[in-house]
Amino acid sequence: MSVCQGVTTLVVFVFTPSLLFVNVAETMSTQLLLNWWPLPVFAALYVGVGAGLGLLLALLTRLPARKRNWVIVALAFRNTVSIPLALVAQLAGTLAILLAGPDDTPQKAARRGEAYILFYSAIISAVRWTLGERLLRPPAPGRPRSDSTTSSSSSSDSSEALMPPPPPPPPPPAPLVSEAAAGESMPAVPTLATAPRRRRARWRLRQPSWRDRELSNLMMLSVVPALGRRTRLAGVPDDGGRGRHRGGELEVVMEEDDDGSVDDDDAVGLPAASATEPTGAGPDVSYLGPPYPVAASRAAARQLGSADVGGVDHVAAVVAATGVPPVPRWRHRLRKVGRLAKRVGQGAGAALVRFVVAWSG
Amino acid sequence: MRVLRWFALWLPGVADGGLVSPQGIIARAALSPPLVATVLALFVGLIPAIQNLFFGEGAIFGLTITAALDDFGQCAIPSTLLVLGAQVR
Repeated sequence: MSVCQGVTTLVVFVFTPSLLFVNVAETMSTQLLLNWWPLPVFAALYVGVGAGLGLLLALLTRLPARKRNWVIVALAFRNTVSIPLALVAQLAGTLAILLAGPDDTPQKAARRGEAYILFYSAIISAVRWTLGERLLRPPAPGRPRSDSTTSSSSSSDSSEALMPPPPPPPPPPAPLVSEAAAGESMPAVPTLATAPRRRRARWRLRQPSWRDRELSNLMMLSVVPALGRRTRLAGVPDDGGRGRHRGGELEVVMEEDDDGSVDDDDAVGLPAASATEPTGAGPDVSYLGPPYPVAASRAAARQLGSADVGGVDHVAAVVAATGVPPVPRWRHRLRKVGRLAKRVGQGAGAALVRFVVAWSG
Repeated sequence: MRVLRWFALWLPGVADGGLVSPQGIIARAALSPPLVATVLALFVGLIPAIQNLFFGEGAIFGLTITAALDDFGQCAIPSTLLVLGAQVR
């Protein structure tokens, strides 16, 4: 392992920089820089796609924040230097398709490919040492990140373990490059670095509280009132469970048992225990005597919002007594309008039928 | 607009990592040789006068600095392959 580390040190500190310098500096020109605009674009694109995939995977698997950052970094920064360089050096000698023209030699083709790769990896490394280092900073502040084996998770320690601590974002070497780097890759950095934290809070499932359950219950009951509890409201005349009553502002749906009678067990929580029910600071609703916790149903009623006559306490009382929120006033009006429209429509239909019959007959 | 705001929020965050002082910047940059080499290569390659000092026929440093760096650079790929092969078990 020490031999490996020594060779790695040599590669990182001597060989790769000299290769990079010779290749890029020899082939670089302003025109070439203009021709190579897809390289930083695709670098930023691939980093963004990889980071997005990592974020998606981490969110789907509900990883903790630290491992999530590792996943993002491992997917965003692939091996862009070592293996591509080796591949190009070998492929340029064997693949004739890489030659640019009849007077092109494999050496020139290899040089060109190395220049592409190194330029691309220069852009990548600028992002890597800013975004990647920032993502990995909390677990290991000064820890160097492996360059050549990030995608293969087994040997992330050994390849370029002597890769030094991260440098600052690169100083602008030339106006073109700085513009490209700042325009393509930099603005993606803060969103990627900070978005997971916010989104996680939104995605996390909460343990449903009593109030949540009650609220969803109320929602369902307001949609399907027939599922409401079979209760008998105190003070409402009993008609055997066949009709609707409107006692005051309340509307109570009475239901029958399976045997067609309204028993005593239909009445839940009649005001026997109402004297001991703590009703809080609101108006006295103890005449309804709810078995419900008044404060919780009051909060649920407050969340329902659009209920009837003023005062959530009234709504809470109705909810507590009947299990169903009171019908809102606007719904009453809608029903009236609907009934009227039904009558009118029936009349109009009958008139139309008569008209047609009269004309056809 | 949002991206710009994030960027504005992010920049001081980068700067708080000990990068504020120029000594810190230089020290950190000196510790990443590939990045330094890239910046230097862009600097040299984008100015034709300096580029002609290093590369081409009859360059002043062509047979000394450039040839040495070229030889070192040619070692990079085989030794990287060597290290990679040593790690694959």
